[in-house]
Amino acid sequence: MISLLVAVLYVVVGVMLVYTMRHYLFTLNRLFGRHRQPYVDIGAAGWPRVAVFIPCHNEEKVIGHMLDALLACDYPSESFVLIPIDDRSRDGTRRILEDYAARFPGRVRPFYRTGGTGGKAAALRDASEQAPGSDAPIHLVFDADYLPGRGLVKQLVGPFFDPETGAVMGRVVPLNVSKSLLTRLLDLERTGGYQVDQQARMNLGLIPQYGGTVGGVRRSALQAVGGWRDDTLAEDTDMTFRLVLAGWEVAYQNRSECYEEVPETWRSRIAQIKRWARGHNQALARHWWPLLKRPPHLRRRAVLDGLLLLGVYAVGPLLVLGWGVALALYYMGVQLAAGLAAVFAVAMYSTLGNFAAFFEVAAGARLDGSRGRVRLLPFLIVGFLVSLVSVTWATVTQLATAWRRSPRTWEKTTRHRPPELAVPKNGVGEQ
Amino acid sequence: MGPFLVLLGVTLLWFLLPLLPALSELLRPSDVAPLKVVDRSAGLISFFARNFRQYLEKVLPAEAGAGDYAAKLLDGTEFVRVTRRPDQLAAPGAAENRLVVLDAPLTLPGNQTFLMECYARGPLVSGPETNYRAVYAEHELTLGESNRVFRWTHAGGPLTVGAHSVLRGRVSSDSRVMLGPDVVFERMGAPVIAHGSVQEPPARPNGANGLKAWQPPVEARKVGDHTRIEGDLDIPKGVRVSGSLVVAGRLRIGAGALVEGSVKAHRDIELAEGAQVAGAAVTKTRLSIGAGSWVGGPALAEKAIRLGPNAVVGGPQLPATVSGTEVELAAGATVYGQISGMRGARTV
Repeated sequence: MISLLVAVLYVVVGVMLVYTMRHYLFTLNRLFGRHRQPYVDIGAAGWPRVAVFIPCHNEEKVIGHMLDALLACDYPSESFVLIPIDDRSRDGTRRILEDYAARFPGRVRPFYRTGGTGGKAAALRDASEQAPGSDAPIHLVFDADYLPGRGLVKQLVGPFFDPETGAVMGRVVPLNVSKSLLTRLLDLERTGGYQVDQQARMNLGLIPQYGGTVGGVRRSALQAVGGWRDDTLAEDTDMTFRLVLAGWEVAYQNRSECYEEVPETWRSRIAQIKRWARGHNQALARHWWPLLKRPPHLRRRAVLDGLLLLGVYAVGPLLVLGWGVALALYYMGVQLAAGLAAVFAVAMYSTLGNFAAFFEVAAGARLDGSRGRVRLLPFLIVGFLVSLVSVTWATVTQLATAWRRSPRTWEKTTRHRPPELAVPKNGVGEQ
Repeated sequence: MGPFLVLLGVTLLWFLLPLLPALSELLRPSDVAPLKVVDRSAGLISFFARNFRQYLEKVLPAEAGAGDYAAKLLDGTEFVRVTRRPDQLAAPGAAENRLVVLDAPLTLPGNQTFLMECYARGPLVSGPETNYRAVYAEHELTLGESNRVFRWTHAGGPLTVGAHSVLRGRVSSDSRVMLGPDVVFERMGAPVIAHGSVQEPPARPNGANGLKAWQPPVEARKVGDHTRIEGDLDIPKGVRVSGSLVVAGRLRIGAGALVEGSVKAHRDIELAEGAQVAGAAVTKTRLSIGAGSWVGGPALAEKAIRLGPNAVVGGPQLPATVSGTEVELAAGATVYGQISGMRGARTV
């Protein structure tokens, strides 16, 4: 029994060590490595037709702003159709969409869902197959609370001139930073995640992740891998790995930034991260073995990175398990053998895993030219603890109910945009 | 009990010490604005030039009319306005430290330095060895031999750049850019950019119907809408390749061959003389576009790009971008759209 516990602890320590090294590798790459952005200068091109999908479920607070922003973008209007997908909204979303469709005929073509499986993945699946305009060769996807800049669509389409690019991901930048400590912490987390993590993957030729918004997929690639799956909570991670396994690349564009609204309450944040954890774990279960078998087009380092990316939400429960085992061993009077592993075991226990992620966030803030916000770094431990508990709980309940096939529904992040800004005033969206 | 409480208090203070900056930022926020990163000027080549034009519209006094005089803009910047008397400007060999507004067509003698922006409302011709901070010409702009521009350049009409000139920053024209030999620049955009003489793209790709269809190697596999080959690939001369190609190694396209889609290689791409790619050409290393070759879409390389004599990228109705770490254009090389060299582009 004791031997088993010691072995478990060493496995946990080993996994944590690998993730620590990964964090440091990414951060050092961003601080000192070559910045790879091969598509950023594409400014002149024969721009292909694009369909922009915006899944909506009760989005009356934000959808008008989103459509206005997209209608003001500099993409050739004749090659550009907006497809808001209204999936059984019970608020004023449908009325707003009908208004835009009437004012911008041909450019705004709402797709209304009244039945079928609920959720973003199912909405995307139906619209990408059935909506008028969905035959465009490039499909972009935005969540309804995002505010794209004028040049963003061109920036996101640019990488698709590379025939190997199956998906593109831009950078998400929080807009409502000043609302609370939580929004400020999420701003820091996003900085680390995009400025360092995603860009380092791009630099190193690994697997940048398509994140489900501020990005898009090539329609032929989507069709080649079987379209969007509606039985997943993380259709973005699922799509990333299906594309990569089939021979496509995911391009990350760090300069293609888009504002988003991050959760302003802990309740909303916890619900969001639990959903992400369950979805990511689904992707882990589906794709770890095909990835480990290493298709001939994938390099070993890409496979390793892919496995670590898939397992990122499994680290939380693993860490909690490690703590439990370490405590049990301590009270059982077991002395760990001296050495590096013991040092890491103790460090893991006393520092919530490791501080490499903090280093990553600080480096990201520095690369962004931020000064004051990085001082909040110690408070990230609060966010990490909340995430750790939420992710662990989500994983445990997911494992416990894995046998049960529950219906897919919308698990929305609460929108906080003030109601007075919900429906834009006169002439909004006019060119 | 007393010493214990003191020790506890000191320990707590000691623990809080590293958190003081965090507590200070939390209680008195100094950096809570969203990152000012969205939609910055990344894409538009003429961004700074257009900004300068808008700035002048705001700060040029309303009563300022054509004539030869010196005055101040509304923000206090000194400017000189020249209609008929260019002798108001600093003499050759000297530096002009006022913003310059040129109202009439003008030919500058050369060997002058303009420390502030130059705004030409009529055609402007500058003599050799002229140095500009930045220049905006509403119409034609001709830069003489060995001119240097340090910030940006824009011409509403044709822009001609003399030999041995160096243009830093963004260079743009609403009409065309004609480059002399040994010109160095960074980013350039215009409906057509040519070194020496403008070449047209092929009216119809190489008589595509007469070309023999290319047979992919047995190890090739179909991935979506492209064909993928692991390893190197040599496409023989004079064949037609339908669809797009992704090559995990080096790609060589033989003379006169036509690829009807796009090509991507993880290593070098070389287009032999007269080869054509109707779509984009993308490589993780170097791209060489041979003499008289044509690439219809963007030409992107993560290292160097070389356009051989009379090579063409894009077309009058098909704008395209050439982007690489270094870009080199041989005589007759023509790009319809934009050129971007991260470490510089040059004509040879």
